[in-house]
Amino acid sequence: MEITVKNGQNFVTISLVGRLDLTSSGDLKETVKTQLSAGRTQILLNLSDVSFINSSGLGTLVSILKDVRVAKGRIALCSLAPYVQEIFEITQLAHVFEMFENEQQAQSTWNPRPVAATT
Amino acid sequence: MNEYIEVKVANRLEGLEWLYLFSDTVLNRLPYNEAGRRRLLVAVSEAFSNAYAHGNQADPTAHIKLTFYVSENSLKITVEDEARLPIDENVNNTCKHLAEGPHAEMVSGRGFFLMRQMVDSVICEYDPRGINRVTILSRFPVECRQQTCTDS
Repeated sequence: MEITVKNGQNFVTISLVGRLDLTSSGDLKETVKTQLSAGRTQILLNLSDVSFINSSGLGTLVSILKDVRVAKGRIALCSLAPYVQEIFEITQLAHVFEMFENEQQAQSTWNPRPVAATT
Repeated sequence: MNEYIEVKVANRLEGLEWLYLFSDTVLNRLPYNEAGRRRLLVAVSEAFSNAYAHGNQADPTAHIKLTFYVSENSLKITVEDEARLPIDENVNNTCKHLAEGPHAEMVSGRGFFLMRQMVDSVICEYDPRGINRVTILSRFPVECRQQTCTDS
């Protein structure tokens, strides 16, 4: 699986390409952990190029969701292909994750980062 | 048409790549559409992942055997591991998924449930000779079965 990270103004977009299964879980977790450690706790996962997902991939996403919550951040998913969306619906995880049709829609719900007060 | 093909792979994560390649090759020759192939691939990958992590306890010296049986109307796939941890046959008696309702945010517990949603039936067995076996059955789409019957 290819993972790319793009730093935006309000959130970090992590785009995934390929299969989200047992083999890719470690890399994705590590990527998110790196972002959280750097204080980037607002994360959008773009799944538009995820060609396959199974319960191992779902478990990884749930694990990440929990890590983000611990960091008091926010995570959302966007651009799920119909067959990926179906897996989320079947497993009822569509109710657990915040999901958007595309990055633009997600962007519109993200408040700008608070600007540090200057004295 | 009654044929089978089997392959035995080392219990390594890389085996999943073999599984996808092998499954794609077989499924592309059978009367499934893309959605059908995807659903079968999900089911087989669940069985393989379970065999790797639970049945064989991620032991690289163990093996996983996959067999695809093709008949006129259906495809049966068996995934066998070396039962380092015997499979819990109770999963056959529940149609619930362990990570639903209040447990919705559990990291694991969706595999067998998801598998069952993808195919016609899934049976898990522990053979005391030291084998866990998951049998997946998928009937071909009705229009294809009828066509096969007409042709024969």
